[in-house]
Amino acid sequence: MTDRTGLLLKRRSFLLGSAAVGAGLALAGCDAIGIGARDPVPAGKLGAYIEIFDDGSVAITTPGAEMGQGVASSLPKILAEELGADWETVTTRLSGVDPAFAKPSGRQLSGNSDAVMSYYEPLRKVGAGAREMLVAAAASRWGVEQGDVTVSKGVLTNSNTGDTLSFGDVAEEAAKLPIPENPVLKDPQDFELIGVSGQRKDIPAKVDGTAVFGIDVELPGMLHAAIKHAPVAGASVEQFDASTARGMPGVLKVVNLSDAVAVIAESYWQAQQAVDTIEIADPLGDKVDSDALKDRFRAALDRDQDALPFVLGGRPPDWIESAELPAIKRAIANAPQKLEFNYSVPYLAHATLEPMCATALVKGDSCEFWAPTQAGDSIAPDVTAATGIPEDAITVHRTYLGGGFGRKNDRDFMIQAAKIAQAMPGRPVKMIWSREQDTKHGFHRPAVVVRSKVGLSSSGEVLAVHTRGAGQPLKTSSFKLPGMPSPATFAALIPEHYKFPMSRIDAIDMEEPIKTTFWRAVAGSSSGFFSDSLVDEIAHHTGRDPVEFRLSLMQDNPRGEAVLKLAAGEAGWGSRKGMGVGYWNGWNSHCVHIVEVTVEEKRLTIDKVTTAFDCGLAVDPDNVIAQVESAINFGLSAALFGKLTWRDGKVVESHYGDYPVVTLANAPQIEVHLISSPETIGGVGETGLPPIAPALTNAIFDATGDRIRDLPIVDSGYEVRR
Amino acid sequence: MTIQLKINGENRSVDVAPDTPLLWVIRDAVGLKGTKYGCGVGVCGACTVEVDGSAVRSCSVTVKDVEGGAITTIEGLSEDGSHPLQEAWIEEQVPQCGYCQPGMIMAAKVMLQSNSSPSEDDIRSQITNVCRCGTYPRITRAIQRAARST
Repeated sequence: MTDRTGLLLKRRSFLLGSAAVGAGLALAGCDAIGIGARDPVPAGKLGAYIEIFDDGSVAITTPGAEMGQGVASSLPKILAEELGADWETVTTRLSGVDPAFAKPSGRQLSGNSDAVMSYYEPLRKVGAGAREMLVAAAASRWGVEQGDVTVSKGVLTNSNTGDTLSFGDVAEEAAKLPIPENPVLKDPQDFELIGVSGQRKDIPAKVDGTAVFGIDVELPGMLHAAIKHAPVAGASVEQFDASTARGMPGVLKVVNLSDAVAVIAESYWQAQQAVDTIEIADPLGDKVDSDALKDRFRAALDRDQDALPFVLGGRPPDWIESAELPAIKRAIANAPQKLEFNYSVPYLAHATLEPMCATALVKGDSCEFWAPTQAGDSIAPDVTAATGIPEDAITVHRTYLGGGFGRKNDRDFMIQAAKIAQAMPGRPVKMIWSREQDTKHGFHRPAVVVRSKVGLSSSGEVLAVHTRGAGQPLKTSSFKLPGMPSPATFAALIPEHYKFPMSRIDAIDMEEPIKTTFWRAVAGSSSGFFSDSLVDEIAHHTGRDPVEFRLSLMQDNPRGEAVLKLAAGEAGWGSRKGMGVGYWNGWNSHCVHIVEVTVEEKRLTIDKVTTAFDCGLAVDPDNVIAQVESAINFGLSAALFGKLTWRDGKVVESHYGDYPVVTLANAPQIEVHLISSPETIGGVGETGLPPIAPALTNAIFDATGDRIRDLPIVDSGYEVRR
Repeated sequence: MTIQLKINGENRSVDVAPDTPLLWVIRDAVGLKGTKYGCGVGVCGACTVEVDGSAVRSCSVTVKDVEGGAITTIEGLSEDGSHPLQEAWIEEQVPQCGYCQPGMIMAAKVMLQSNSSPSEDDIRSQITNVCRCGTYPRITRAIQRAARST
């Protein structure tokens, strides 16, 4: 492994499983910036994850991108549990892009709430394997059986004599041993770290200003770039006037990146001032307008022939298929009572507080990145396709991410940084998007409009439910099931956890020039609002209690029933006016929110959110609670305020002033009750989001009788206050 | 032009255009990266620093505006991360992505100087910084914990 940071470690250290034990010095500086190796890690998989220093201390590398969800701590903790390390003294490191950090699926990518689900078993095996090597080395030193050596908190003990050795004492010998293929894992009953709340390892650096985010990268000889995108959705840069920019102080170069123009300068502020003067010509022809777009989507809902059916749940090949269109139409037409509701959600920005940014250095044929990226193995192929830089000549170091939420899995800003660096070979260039560029030119959560039709019996029993959506597929994902509409836009319009005698989801993929991508909870971010609004409306029209009605729709779902009952009990369901409930099951976790509101005239106060959350095994329960708190406030920001608007092809909103998010002024009191069990493992970053918007609008309905079917809530004339 | 600054108790001279926002001088000319860029228009508070006892959004003042003033950034809060606010932030496990927290902590520091025992409502009305991860419940608890310990 070559040193890529310019800093060499002073202590001797050992990478377990390394052929070159003791010969080389380990990378340093990677406490802050992830290792990236374009060659296979010479030390093998163990070496990529664990470094043991001769003083006995241990450094563990997280394979995931740390964007707030806590994987810089939770994933190393899993490994440390099996290793028997002294967690108090373990240091953790960020990873770069490397096959050694791939999930069992073969992919390295941080998203889909799957870090703990994907890495739990592999990291246990890595830790247990390393522990067995250390034990074997100690047993050999003492001339005893391996079974006579115990491990706890970084200390190896000879149970015959009571003698002890530190990991550092035997690391050099251990590193020469073969890596065990099937190490014995701990009995979960003996876990000392997993399942116990502790302090996150990344937090001290985040309170003293030393944590290195993508925007903080500083390299010798580094230049700076600022960027301006073609303002009209779908347009590329054809003509632009940079005559003023070129003459401004510090400006070195103006580069056409095809989707944007970049200015490279001695300092960021010089680059930003210069790029602000550049005029990019608008294209001729039709341009996106949000009102016209919504009308188009609404009109599409009438087109039976374009509506492709979507599955109601299940897993391949045992899909639960939607009812056929003629059958569901007949069932609803013939029903004694009919309900019909129209809902909509708008396009949303991710609004990560750290805007898109990346630093790249092109030297000859090679390109090296330092960036806040959720992506892993997808970066090199995309950069190669856009720049011609060979895939195997691309190295990615990962920094901390100042928020991700799906957006930083996109490669657009990595490609831009590479193209900028190609214009300045031999010099690292750091590109930063302004907030305005980030708001207007991100890849967005797609807008969706929905119409739900319900057939009821004369006594109010649900006979059939048909939900149809129209919306835009993701530009960043072409994945589809054969014959079905885009899953990332329409999945779970009628979620699997609500069973009706007859159901149909169908949807129309709308092609629009707006850039769209994954956003926290993906389709759940909209489907949760549609489905739990609909269920609440049916309960109201049939005189059922909203909690009791949801329970009646669940079948074989003990975890769902448990969270619903727990939340209702803790919140004192029904004890006051202005309560609303929402439920979601996703990423193998279950979440119920009960929201309490006070509404005076149209002044809305969110008094409290009471939550029950079941993610199975909670590696760190307090961090799970933190993620649920985060999903609540993220979802409330969207429900209350979130909306991007296009006029004449251009986004109207610019920053947190006109694209507001929840702040302390309106953030609710939150009380989270965890149900944890070691039998299963669920994701925690996203499941708390889908049910918060409907829980809130259902609470507003309970308080006022006003049913909000179109987000954001402020568009219905509400003022949000505390 | 050369401008004299006093940052975290040290005198620094920087050679920048006088209309450069203080934020970019702190980050790129002085090299203190703890102060963050979030919006550039004084809305989000990620760039909050203390200037002569006041909380200032450093993206929205020029370096010339604060020449001669005493500037404190997150790096100047303590030598070793032991300021009561930093310790309280760790105790309450506040940060997630962590990007907003230096600005949040600096805003809290200035608030506590004029209100040593803030109520929840005081905190809600006086700290207007954005945390996109939504760590607000813990921010409130951490400020009150720090207030109790000083």
